[in-house]
Amino acid sequence: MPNKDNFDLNNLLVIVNVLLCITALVLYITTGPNQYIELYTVILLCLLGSQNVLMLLYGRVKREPFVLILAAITTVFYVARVVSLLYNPSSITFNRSVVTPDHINYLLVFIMLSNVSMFLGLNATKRKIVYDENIPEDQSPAKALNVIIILFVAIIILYIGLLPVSVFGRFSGYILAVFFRLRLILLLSLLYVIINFRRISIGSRFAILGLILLFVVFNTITGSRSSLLTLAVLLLVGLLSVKGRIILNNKIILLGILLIPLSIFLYNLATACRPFFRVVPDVFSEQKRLAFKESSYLKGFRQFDITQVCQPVFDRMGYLDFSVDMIKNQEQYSRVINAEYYLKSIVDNSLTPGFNVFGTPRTENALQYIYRDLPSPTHQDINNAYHADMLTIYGEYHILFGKYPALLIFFIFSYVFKRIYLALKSKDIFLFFLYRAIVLLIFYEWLNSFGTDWFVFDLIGIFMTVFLFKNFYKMRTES
Amino acid sequence: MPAAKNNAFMFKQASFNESDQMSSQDSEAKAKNLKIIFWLIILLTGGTFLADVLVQYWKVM
Repeated sequence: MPNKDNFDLNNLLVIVNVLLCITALVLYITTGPNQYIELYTVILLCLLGSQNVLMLLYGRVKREPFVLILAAITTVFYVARVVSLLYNPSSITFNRSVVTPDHINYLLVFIMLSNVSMFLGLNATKRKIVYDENIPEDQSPAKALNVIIILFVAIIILYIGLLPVSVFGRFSGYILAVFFRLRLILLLSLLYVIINFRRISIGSRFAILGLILLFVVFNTITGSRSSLLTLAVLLLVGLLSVKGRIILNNKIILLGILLIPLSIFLYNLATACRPFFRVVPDVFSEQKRLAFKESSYLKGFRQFDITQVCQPVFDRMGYLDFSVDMIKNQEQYSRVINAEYYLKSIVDNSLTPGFNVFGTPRTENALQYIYRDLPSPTHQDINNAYHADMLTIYGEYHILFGKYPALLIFFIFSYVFKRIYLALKSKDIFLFFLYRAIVLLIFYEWLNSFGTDWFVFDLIGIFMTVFLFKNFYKMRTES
Repeated sequence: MPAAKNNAFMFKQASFNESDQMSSQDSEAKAKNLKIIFWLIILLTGGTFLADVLVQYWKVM
């Protein structure tokens, strides 16, 4: 039972939304409009914030995990982004073409309509999600050693991934992405701890959580910039799948507040570390050491300039920027965001490892060739200069289906997600919660779309990894 | 609980609907609140959409 010192994540997000709206109003009054934000944008932002607040209150009463995920994404990556644009009107994505407040206003209204369509889809069925954490007496946790060994192997593989691809052949990337998806290994391990927390030894708990932290640190110093965010998301879906709500106490809230500046530091550090690990043999060459020292991502720390420190993070969390750019330039982007292109890309990138039928790179990689006005890329071009752009579900579906038909698609997809969630069943309590967590994770990734072709590839990877590893984690039944 | 009987137990979504659970006054109040919040969300979004249509029309004029 939650006591008075505990705090629901829904309530915390309600407060965050209210604070963001108040901050936007104060910033607008003190600094006035800029090239991206006008008074009408701030009004729409407050309306979107109010919609978020209502959805969070609704989700809290119903213990509805999908609504919480939807509102959390909207709060962190859209509402907060508008406030950051008021504070510092700068965006790498907006440099691609001229963006005005009208474009942002249009998106905010579209997000409100899309979110309400998803909300209706999620609540179209009267059946309620039931939570029962009681583990039957004849089921005991899998061996903690299995989990520790798999996590250890994952860290080793993370290191091997830094070695030149030729060591493991041309299929190494595909094999890792499909059969050993590291994110899924983390989810399985986290879920193991969440479900069996009181049933495994303290030593095992510390060993598993320590390895997970080591994995995140190692991931960060090798250039992965979203390790902490990934861990937070996996923890979110893991806890939601089991409990349906996230209760935070004062210590956790304090830790979260401390983690925000740490995550900003880690993001800049990981970006500055990236050139070090591009080619392994000369990782510590003098030239690269100098490049790291002079990296613009660390300049802000040296000069104690908060705006400069936060700017790369604002840019990266600016999912709003990607959505605006997609919708504004939808005619150009529709060259690679259409059913025919997706079909070819799925065949080439998901179904035919090692060879290509159509020579079609993934949409997320091809987008930069559109906004840079370059000829259509080949796989070789992508390998030579890898770069991926986010589409976001709002931008992608607006281009694919059009404004109003997209709302219907949002409704249908959300309804399907909820029905699948309600239909899940298993004799094994670990597998039952694992399936739930996977549906929530897929919902999260669907919202933060990198393209339908990527989504299909991701689904294949998720299902294959879970299929291969679930038996190491599932409960042992005593006969 | 005998193991054989326990093994037959299946973790799944119970097939009752919301109304079956609403027994106490507290639950009724919760259900009423949910209804109010639900309609507030619809009204807020619908109102914003209509207001935006008017604003766009006014901008063009």
